[in-house]
Amino acid sequence: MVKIRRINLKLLRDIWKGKIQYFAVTLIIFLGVSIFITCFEAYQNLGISYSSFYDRLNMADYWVSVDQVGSNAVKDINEISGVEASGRIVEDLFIDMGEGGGEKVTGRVTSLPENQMPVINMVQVEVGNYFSGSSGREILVERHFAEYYNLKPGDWLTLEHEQVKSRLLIRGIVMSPEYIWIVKSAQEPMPTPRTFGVLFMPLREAEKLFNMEGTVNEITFLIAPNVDHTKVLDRVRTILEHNYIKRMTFKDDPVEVQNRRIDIVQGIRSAYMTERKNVPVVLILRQKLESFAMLAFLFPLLFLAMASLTIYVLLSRLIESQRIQIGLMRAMGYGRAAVIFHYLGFALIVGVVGSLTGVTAGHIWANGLTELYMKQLNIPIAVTELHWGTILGGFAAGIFIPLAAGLIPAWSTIHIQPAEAMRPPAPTAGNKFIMTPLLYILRPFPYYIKMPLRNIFRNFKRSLFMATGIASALIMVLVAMSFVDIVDEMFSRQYGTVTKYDAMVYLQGEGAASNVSLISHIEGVTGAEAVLDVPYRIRFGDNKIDTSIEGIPEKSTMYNLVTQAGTKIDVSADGVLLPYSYRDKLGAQIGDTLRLEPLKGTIGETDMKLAGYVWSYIGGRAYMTLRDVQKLQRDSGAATGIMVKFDGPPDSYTIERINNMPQVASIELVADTRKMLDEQMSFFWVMIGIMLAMGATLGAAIIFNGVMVNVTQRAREMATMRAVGLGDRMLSFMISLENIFIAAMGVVIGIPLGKYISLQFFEAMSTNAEDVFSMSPPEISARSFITAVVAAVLIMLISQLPAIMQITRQNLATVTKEYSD
Amino acid sequence: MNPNVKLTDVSKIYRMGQTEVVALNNISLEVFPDEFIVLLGPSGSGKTTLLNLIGGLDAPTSGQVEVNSINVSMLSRAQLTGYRRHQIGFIFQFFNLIPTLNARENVEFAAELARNPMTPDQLLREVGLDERMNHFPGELSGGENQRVAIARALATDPPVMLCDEPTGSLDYETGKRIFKLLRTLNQTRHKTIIVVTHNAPVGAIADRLIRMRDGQIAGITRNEHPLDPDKLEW
Ligand SMILES: Nc1ncnc2c1ncn2[C@@H]1O[C@H](COP(=O)(O)OP(=O)(O)OP(=O)(O)O)[C@@H](O)[C@H]1O
Ligand SMILES: [Mg+2]
Repeated sequence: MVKIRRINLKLLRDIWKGKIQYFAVTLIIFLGVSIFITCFEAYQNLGISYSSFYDRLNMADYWVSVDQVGSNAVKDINEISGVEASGRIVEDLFIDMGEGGGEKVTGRVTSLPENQMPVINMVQVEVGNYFSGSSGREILVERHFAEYYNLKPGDWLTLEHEQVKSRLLIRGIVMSPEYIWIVKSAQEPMPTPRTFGVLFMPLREAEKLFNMEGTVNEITFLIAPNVDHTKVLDRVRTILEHNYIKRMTFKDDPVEVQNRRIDIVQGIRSAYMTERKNVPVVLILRQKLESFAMLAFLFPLLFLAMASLTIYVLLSRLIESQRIQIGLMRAMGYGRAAVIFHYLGFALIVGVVGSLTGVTAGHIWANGLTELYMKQLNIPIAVTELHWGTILGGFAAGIFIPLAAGLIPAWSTIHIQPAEAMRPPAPTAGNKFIMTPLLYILRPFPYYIKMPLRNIFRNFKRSLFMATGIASALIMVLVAMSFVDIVDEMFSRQYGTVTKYDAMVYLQGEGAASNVSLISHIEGVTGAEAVLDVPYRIRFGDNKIDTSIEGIPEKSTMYNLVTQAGTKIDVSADGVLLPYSYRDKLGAQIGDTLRLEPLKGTIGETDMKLAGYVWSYIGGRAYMTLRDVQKLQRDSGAATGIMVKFDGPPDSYTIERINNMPQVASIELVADTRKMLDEQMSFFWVMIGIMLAMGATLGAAIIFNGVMVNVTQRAREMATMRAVGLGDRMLSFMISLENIFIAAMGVVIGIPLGKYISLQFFEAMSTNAEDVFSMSPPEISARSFITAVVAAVLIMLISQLPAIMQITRQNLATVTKEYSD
Repeated sequence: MNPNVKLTDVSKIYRMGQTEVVALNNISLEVFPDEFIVLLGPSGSGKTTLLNLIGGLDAPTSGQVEVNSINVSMLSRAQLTGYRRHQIGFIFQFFNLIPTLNARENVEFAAELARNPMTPDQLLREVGLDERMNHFPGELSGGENQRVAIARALATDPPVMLCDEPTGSLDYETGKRIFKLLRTLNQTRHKTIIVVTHNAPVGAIADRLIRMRDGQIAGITRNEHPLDPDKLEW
């Protein structure tokens, strides 16, 4: 039998003696390490899962959009060595969803080879089959859309393009890496499946339908590994030049799919090139990942910092109470190092147990989270790998941070002189400089107020530690609540203040503003206003942002722009209003002159003053008056959409009447969008719940330890008070009062810190001008502050209970007898 | 015969700010192997200080401490640790056992430091605790605890044992039995034993009785026929 060394046995027994306290620290380390591993591994897993999904379906490396180019260009590009290219037609049309004029839905058609699966940008057939090849009149439907309308193979779908209707048979329901997340355009990143669907059609059929025989408008290509991209791109450029496409605009910004089109700027035909990493779907999924990476560091850092503090306090108290034992060990012939290592052992065991369990649980959770997340996105691949670097990093942090914290008290044993340690220590009275005036101030108060207050200062460092525990719980609660605030604020601003319409009616291409009067006469409609949204590039000096400019009526009652601070700001002829999130990227000040270049067509290039920055949350875009945008487009009657207000919830008849208007493309009901947003939020709410629970656990673990240490240190004093006749209730009251004072201190520390941290957190997460979801740092609401404070005080009151119970159960005889500890 | 413990002109002065406390004032003393010494003196006379210097827990302000030809005052810190480990066994008034280790484990705690450790079970039997080896200090009486402490001090088989008021917190009968045990160990195991006490009558059981006063040796009495501790009365 292996015999454990007695000094180590002592270590284990000492830990066992204070097992709940050590368990509490271990729990904090466990949480810190497991959160880190969970979030960071999930982050890595998801990144790999995405790419492997992209790779499995051979997602292209580059997309080149042109107005039209002959198929031989595709063939030429395909012949570049190490390049696999394919040409396709991507066009929008209408899908007639209701038999006899029900919903009109925008359909994005992408062509596919009719006989075999494409080599690039493959689709995965979920239900049914790929094209049979026998008949051209077949389509595949992307699964979001199919799900919404419950479409199955064998159903027929009516498509409409330039007033020509055709019926096609659904062969299969498919998923496509390009449409994991459906993005219509950067301005409309979240179309509802009710109004936007993705379809795939045999190339021959698409050529016929869109009048593009022998040509394509999009070339996608994949470059083999180890092939020089710049050389390939040079070749591609040359080939396009031979095909009369003189300019190739390299996009380092995400381009809305719609805009990858004809681009006849200044009379030159040009091609738009987008790399895989800038494709909207890739960008959005990536952006959603970043929050994991963020969480992976912020909270574990907080947890491990608090674990360190706790270990410091626990070990300091342990060493203080074991002075005699230390003196004895030294007298017996244990060296200084042996004693230091002995006490470091406490931190080591706690660290190793916390890290081992944390890493294990974290890894399991990371895999679960990855699978859950991919399932939510409906991606069939979830790569769950063991990321050794992350595992080791988390493990090392979980061990070395507590060890470092334990080193301070452990090292202090060096100064313990055995001869001195074995005399009984003098009782601590607290800081004289605080105590003397304090005693004076407290004189008029009764003892049950005086004593708790005095106790706070007797070991002020420890009180501060407990206050920090409360503060850290408060920080977690505050950060979680500020998420809630952001979402609330976003929704209530967007839907309570900014957009007051009930539906946006999209017109086909550039329609007529005169639809306003037609729509407003429909029964059930109480108001209608036109908007004109045109893709533009905005330049200021060397900086540029591709976005769109939306023209809205002056004094609009349905579109109320506000500044970041929330005050109303109207579009006027003075200039263009930009979303706040563009400010850093563009660097323009109010009053500066911006250059506006149309991304489509040749007209409308102009200079315009920057009139102000406005708040926006989804799909930032620029705003001008409707009239000014119409002027830019040289079309005083143009509109791309009509904002509509209904009299109560619209009935199907009203919707049908609008849908039946010839220029109407689709109706996007605000209620639908909100419902979709709410559904996407469910994952978010779970995260918030977990964060709140973890914050509470952290606070509870620290307070529990702090109160426990306090109580054991004062055991004799308290037993004496009880022996003298102080009731248990009064004693509990006094301890609670002391802790409430400490909680108040924690609140004072926690609130500004929590405010600062949530601000930093969101600042880091937000404000990339091109991000589809631009989050602005939160204004933390009073509700959040109150929740956080109440939570902190509750945590304090609950976690002190075990310690209070221990005191009231203590056997008076044994406590007063004990001479050490 | 050569002395086992040899103090030459040893002084110990504690400085606390402005004031100086002369705990030991120029003491010279020789203790021989197998001697059983009783140190007697009023509180504050320097008894503990003297033991601490011999035990290598403290260094003299001046003078020389030599134990088994080791010049204790010249030892480095690491050497001092080894010195305490192999040369000295300490016994204290308040036993100072590790509360989380049982009797046997407390003895083993020391035995693990020795080059040639004694068998803990045998030592505990020798001090009369064969029945209660698995009991924790909290479950043992004061006398029993002190026996454990004695067994622990013996575990490294040190030639010199220093006992600072070993019966100070024990009753009369129990105290007597502890002195009996120490005397037996002195005779059977040939330990040099120095016992500090407040009790004047205890001097009768010693080979030599050393009286201390104000940090100095006030007198040395040699007992040609030391009293059997069983017959002690105070
Ligand atoms: N670390 C110290 N710092 C200052 N003075 C000390 C220290 N240790 C001992 N003294 C002083 O040295 C003198 C001798 O102390 P010592 O402990 O040796 O006395 P003692 O004879 O053991 O007394 P007692 O019988 O009360 O244990 C005393 O005056 C004491 O106050
Ligand atoms: Mg003494």
